[in-house]
Amino acid sequence: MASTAGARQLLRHPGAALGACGLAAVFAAATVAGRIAPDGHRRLSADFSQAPSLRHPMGTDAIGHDLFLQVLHGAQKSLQVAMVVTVLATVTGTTLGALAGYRGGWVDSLISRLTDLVLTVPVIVVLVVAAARLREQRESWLVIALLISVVAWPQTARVVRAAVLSVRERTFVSAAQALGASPLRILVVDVLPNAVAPIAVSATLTMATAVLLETALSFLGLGVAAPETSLGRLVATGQSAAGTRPWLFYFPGIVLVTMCVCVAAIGEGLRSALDPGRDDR
Amino acid sequence: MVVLALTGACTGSRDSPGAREAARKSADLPGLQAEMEERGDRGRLVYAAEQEPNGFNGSTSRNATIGVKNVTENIFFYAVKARPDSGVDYVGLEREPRPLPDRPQVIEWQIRKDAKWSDATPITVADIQYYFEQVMLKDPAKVSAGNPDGWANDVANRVGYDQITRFTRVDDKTFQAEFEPAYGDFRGMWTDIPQARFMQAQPGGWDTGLNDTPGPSAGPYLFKEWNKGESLVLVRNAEWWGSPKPTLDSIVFRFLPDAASSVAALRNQEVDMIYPQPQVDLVAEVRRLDGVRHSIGFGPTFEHLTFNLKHEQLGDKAVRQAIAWGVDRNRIVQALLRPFSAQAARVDNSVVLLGQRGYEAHGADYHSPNPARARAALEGAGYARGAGGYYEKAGRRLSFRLSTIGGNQLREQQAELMRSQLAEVGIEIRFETLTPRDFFGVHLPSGDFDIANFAWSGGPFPISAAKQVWSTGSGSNYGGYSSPAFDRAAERGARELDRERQLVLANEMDRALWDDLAVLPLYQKPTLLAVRNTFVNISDNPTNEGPFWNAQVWGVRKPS
Amino acid sequence: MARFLIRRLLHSVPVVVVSSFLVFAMVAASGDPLAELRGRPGVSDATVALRSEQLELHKPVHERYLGWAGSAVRGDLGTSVGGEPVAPMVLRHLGVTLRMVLLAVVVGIAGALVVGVGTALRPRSVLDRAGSVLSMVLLATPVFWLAGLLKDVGIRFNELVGRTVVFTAGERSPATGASVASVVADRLGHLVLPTLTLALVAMAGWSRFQRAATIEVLNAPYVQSARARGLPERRVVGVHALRNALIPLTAVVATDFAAILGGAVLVEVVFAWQGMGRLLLDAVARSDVHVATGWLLVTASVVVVLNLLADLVYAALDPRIRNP
Repeated sequence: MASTAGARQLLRHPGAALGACGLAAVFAAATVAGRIAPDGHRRLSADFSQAPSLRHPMGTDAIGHDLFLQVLHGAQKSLQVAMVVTVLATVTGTTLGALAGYRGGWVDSLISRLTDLVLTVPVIVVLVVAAARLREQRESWLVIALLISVVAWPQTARVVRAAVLSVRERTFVSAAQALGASPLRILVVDVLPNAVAPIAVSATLTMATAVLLETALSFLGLGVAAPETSLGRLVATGQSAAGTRPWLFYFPGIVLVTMCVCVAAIGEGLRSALDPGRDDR
Repeated sequence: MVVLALTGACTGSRDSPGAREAARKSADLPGLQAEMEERGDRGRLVYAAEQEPNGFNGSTSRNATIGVKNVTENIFFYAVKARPDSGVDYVGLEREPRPLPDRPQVIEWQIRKDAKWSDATPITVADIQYYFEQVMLKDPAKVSAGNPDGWANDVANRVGYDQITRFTRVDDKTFQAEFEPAYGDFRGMWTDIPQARFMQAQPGGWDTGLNDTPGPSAGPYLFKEWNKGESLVLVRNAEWWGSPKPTLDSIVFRFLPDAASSVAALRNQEVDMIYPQPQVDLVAEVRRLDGVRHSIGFGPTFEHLTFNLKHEQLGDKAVRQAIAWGVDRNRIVQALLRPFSAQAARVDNSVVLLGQRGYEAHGADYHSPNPARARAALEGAGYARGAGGYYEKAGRRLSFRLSTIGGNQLREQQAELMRSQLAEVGIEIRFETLTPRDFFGVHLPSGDFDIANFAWSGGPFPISAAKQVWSTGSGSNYGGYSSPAFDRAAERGARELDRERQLVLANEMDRALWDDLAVLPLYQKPTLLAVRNTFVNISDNPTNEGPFWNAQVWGVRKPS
Repeated sequence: MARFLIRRLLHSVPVVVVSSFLVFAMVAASGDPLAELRGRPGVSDATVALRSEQLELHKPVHERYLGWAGSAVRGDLGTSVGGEPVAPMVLRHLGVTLRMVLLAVVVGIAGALVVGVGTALRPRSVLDRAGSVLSMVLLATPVFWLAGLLKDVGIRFNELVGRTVVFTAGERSPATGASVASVVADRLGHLVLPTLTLALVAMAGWSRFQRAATIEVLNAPYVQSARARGLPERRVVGVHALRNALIPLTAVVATDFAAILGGAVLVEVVFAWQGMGRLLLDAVARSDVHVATGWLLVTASVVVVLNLLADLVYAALDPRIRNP
């Protein structure tokens, strides 16, 4: 088991450390802003379409929103979406993947077909069709997060299934079986801990995917609904302003890309920390 | 089908003996453009069309879109077209249609003697009559619960035509129609009419016969080809009977569904003309382009707030007044429209709009916001400040949903503005965005809204349009408005044949709306036309006609 | 091998059927395609009733699906809400999208090979690190953002050369010159930007993958032994390493295919291509059940077929699979 050594490895990985710090910084800033001025992102000033200044570090939009507060709020919403998706998709994917890999037979067939079902259909279609209908609900960010989870779990399921398959035949598992341990116990105690590395890595992938999918949906006008906002929504609505009021496009865009890069860096770090055998020479 | 742009406010009478000359002359001098620039020969114009047609019979509900009309406007027969100055040209007629002196219920039309289709057959009463019969065709086999009269064809709008009790052919070019009751907007009838012979020969007939091709042309251009999903090409109709003759070889409709991509395409020389819904950044981008000129107009479509009068609190006029005094319409215009148009202004009439003849600014009390008066009105009605600074009465807070269509930045922004303005006067607004389907199909008809923000197209016939929207029990009367004063004026207006008296009644209708504050008009929607400088004589017609109204005079700039 | 392919194909049939029903039901439940018509002033109830009759809106969903599926088996995918037959419509859009996507996949694979192998040969070099950071940033960039950026670059390039070389809208110009050269140039000019966008994103992921696979193969005993036998390095990398390192990439490309189609939706919107993406968005916006389901049927079939193709390539590259 590589957990403590892995953690040390992870911290030694400069990219991952940087990624973790970056993500934590965004999260902290958004939380603090949310505490200090809970409604700040919706407050309107008389400054319409102002370029960045001391008063408005990221400028304002056409009706006087302070973009800095909007970006912070949006980042918080995007992170919320990403977290919900990551947790849901990872739990679902791990459960189903482990079940398929461990039980085999018809369970495996059924789950594999289900996985195929989601992977054969371009993800965006499910989102587009469902989002068009459901996002009108209150708490649209949650709806969007649930929808993305529905399409995001199969990747994890596949990875976990493969990992479980390779672990299943190992001696310590057969030994546990011989000792009469229950299948659930074997799965949780013996099999899954050995699949932590791929699960963790695919969780980071899921997180980045969630942020990007939410952004894509916003661009298609199907993301988080007004008056809520998210980074994706800010980037998407700011796109038309890229040439004329660039701050509306670049600030949320930069924060968004930074966030995704941070997540990816953590994933890379996890990969090499938890699975040092596969690291480059 | 009906000219969708007759403003009901027509300029000078043209039924004098010299009517024909006058009609000709008006075609020679298109609209407000006092002089026509000289044109070079030939040339091809590529237009970035946001909507692709799905067939050409614009009278069906399937094809009644602006994307179809832009194409057929220069192909089908039009008795009349609206001009930018809200006058009309009787382009297909010998003279203005007129009531018979002894029987004012009977109107007579006379098609131009020289009018003919591009296959050289004359345009006759047979074309008109076939169109009329198809619009009114009934089939006992189609009777059903939803269609008790057994209408046979898909027709978007039968208004006016369903008041014709008798259609009479006088000769090949002349016909009369008898109306019961009288129909004041008869001047706008008989537009977008395809050739009868062609349609009859199509297996699909009225509903789908024109799905792939519009058939012969009665206008300055001919349909040439349509590559679905890409482009549609019109070419010059050299045999056209009108004047001045078109000089452009072809007009290409390039289907670019996204406004942002059409600006880039204009900049990249891929298209020559765009007509997108303007927005601050879009206009700024267009302004920066070299060799392109642009104009911003204000069409007959206006944004407004419709109040649900059946809502317990909104049913109270004092509450509506407080909203009207709380919303700063000037500031909305200043934030959202002024950045690209100095002429942008709030509109104070929901029936006759700014730029139309007969416009009167009503509702003077509400021209500027007045938070103090808003609060006073609420307190006078028994409301008191409660939690969060919002007014409440009997434990019920003044808190309304503001419903609108999602995904429209302008709407979302103005909703945010209104939310913050109304919070100032102690009224809470919760913003609700819906899909167009749910908004128009479910929430509005079922009355599941408090305040709705959308747009009405007020242009075509001020009286018919407003009557459909606000008269008691009408299908589009979503707010549940009912006023004897309005109904009386609307009823009289619909039968009034005299244009000046129509205008008086139209304004009377609007005064009733203001008296009851059933609707709060905000501003008219802007239009943006941008054209490459190598083309001349192209101008917007901010009635519902759009820029294609005078395509016969378009041309390339004459090399100097 | 043939049996394996047929089994794969049979496995995917229920997947396609189930997903088509799901989309059919979801779009049918998503709203009333005539709602806007109902809200339009002047449109009579009778007209709405007529249209509703034509669209069979009064029937229950499963009945409508069975009716549709019955004719779909015979190749008729029904008509759209707008009255156009769906089958030719979908095929037209498919052609547009496939042209973009297939080219993007080819360019993406080529790029991934060059970058992946190149960086694998010199791990931890400056180039390798740059590639790693760049691909991480590319993967973290929203596709439409990248597309918009490339579009701007393209226009600036045109303005620099003084004529329109690369196009930003649509898949070809209307009525270009008759010569083959001008038609080809025009098509390519339209293809460059959208293809590049998709290819760059695909490349970002694949090149990292190819790099890892190559490193693993280079360390494998048989490559070491080839080196020991004194084969020139060029031959070691080119023949032994590359061939085996291609196997995992094929699998990844195949599984990513659906994702690329998803990305193509966004690219199509930015570059105003009337491909499958636009078709789907419009269908959903209009609650157009037949078009959306036809879209799904065709797209899923394409994904299945391409996955099969990938299996074939896989088998050709890996001798172990051919004789199971």
